[in-house]
Amino acid sequence: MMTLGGLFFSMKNLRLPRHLLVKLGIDLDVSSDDDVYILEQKGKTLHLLLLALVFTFCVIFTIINIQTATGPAAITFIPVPLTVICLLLYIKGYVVASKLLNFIQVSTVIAVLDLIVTPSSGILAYYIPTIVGAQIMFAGKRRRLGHLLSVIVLLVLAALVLTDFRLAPKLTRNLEDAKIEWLMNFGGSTLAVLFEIIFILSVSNRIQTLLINKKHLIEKQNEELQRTNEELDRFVYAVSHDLRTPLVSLKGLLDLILRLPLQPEKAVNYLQMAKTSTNRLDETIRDILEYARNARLEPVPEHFDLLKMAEQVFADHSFAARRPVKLVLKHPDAACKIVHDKTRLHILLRNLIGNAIKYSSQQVDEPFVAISCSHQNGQLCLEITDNGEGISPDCLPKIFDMFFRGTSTAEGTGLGLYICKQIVTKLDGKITVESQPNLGTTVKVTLPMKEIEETGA
Amino acid sequence: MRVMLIDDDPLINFVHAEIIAHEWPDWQVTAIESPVKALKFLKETAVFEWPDLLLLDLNMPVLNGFDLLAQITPFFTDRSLHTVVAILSSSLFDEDREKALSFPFVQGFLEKPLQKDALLRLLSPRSGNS
Repeated sequence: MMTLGGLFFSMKNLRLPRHLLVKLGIDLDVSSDDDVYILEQKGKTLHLLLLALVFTFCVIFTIINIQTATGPAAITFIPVPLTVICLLLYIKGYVVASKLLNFIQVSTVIAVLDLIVTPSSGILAYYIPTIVGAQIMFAGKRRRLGHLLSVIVLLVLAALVLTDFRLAPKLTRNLEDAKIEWLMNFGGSTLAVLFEIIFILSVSNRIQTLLINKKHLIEKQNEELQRTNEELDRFVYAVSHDLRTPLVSLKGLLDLILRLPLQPEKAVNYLQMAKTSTNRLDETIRDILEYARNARLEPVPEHFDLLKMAEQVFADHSFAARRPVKLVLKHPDAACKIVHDKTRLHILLRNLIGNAIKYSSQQVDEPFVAISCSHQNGQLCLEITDNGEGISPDCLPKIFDMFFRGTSTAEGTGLGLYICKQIVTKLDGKITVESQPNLGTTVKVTLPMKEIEETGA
Repeated sequence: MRVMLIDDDPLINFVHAEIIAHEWPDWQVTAIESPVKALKFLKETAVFEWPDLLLLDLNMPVLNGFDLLAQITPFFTDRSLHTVVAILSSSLFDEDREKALSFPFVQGFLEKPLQKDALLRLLSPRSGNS
């Protein structure tokens, strides 16, 4: 005599072909980090397993019932087309409807089978895995429906147990058979519940691992965020100071200008200084913006000639020199055509060449800025050398710090080299500075390259 | 009255010197742009020749205002030291104010640019403040 118990047992060893499951919309390698998604995948799996099980069970049972004429063949046959309808619904995308129909037919078949067998053969025990199954099948977004179905089935179960209502035609069993059937059904439903527990535990394990991973990730992100926050605090502190420095000068100058009577020569002097302050404020704001852009935007590769750009930048800055400064291109005939982030390299050149010109020496006969550009092993190497004032060894370790200015009289925002460092870091490169006071400075920048083509000019 | 201004920004030093010259033409003003030089001067000068008023900026390269305050702290164990030390800063951060005023000999925290009234207030109730 076939029982549900036996079938539930075989279900445990049931392995549906992988590609079939994937076709049915079940993601077996649930690598998603969404726990609700995992739950819903598991719910779908259980639903399909149940469909397959009910189908197989009912077909076999119907055949046995017809051959032996011991059971109600008509009743056991009803779920066969219903499971097919469920599967069709599922494939068409009506997942919830499919689950609901499946659930209702299983519950109904259990009730009807119980009601036509006298004395009770313990088929009602299958309501326990059914109730648990509702929770699994509808886990996730539809869990309220799952709760509702569980409660309904519980009420039906209570009604069936507590009342004596039976359906005709009555199938009678002798007590011995009933006992054996009762035991088998009870065992079967216990196995089913066990299977469901294992099922839930596996989901829970997976989600737990997921949560632990998420926790580690969040902790790491939190640490990073804290570091960023501290950096931001320092940044705000430094920026507010450097924005306010020209501003308070301006305020003071305006106070002086407004104090009447005012000699015209003095007024002109004050206004000149006010202009200097305004320019400095503007420069600081530009630098801050450049810093922010570098931090926010991803590099955009563009074709351009680095040496040409260097020449242009030099020409733009040479007017700021205290004395005429000569530009020396180490490979004057070569072009350095590269594909790189043009905007960032422009900022880099502007700051480095600008520094070389600004701090050119008053003592040497022929101040120069030498620029060379070479590449090997996919590395772009840019060198900017000058024979200027140089940097004292005390200052050298600090020159890349935010708002560091070498001497108290140094002009500029103190952001230039900081921005250079940030840019080179963003481009996965390296920047080093060698310098000796009164002899000069060499800045070396190496950047990883994607594509370089060198052509003679 | 001899006043010493210590600030790395030459422009603001000029502005402050002009303001003082305008309000109190008889005062002697010395402005020092390098805090290192200022410290050297103070260390090498006999205490009784120190300026009467020392106006110090906080945010300076190489040696900031707090470092300088820490360096001159030992001189103030001498109770007879007449110099009034005040911070003259553009900082809007309470932490800076609290940290500066935690030095017992710092008698005020003035905001840049220097205002006549603020300086007068600092100088008038001398006994009450210390």
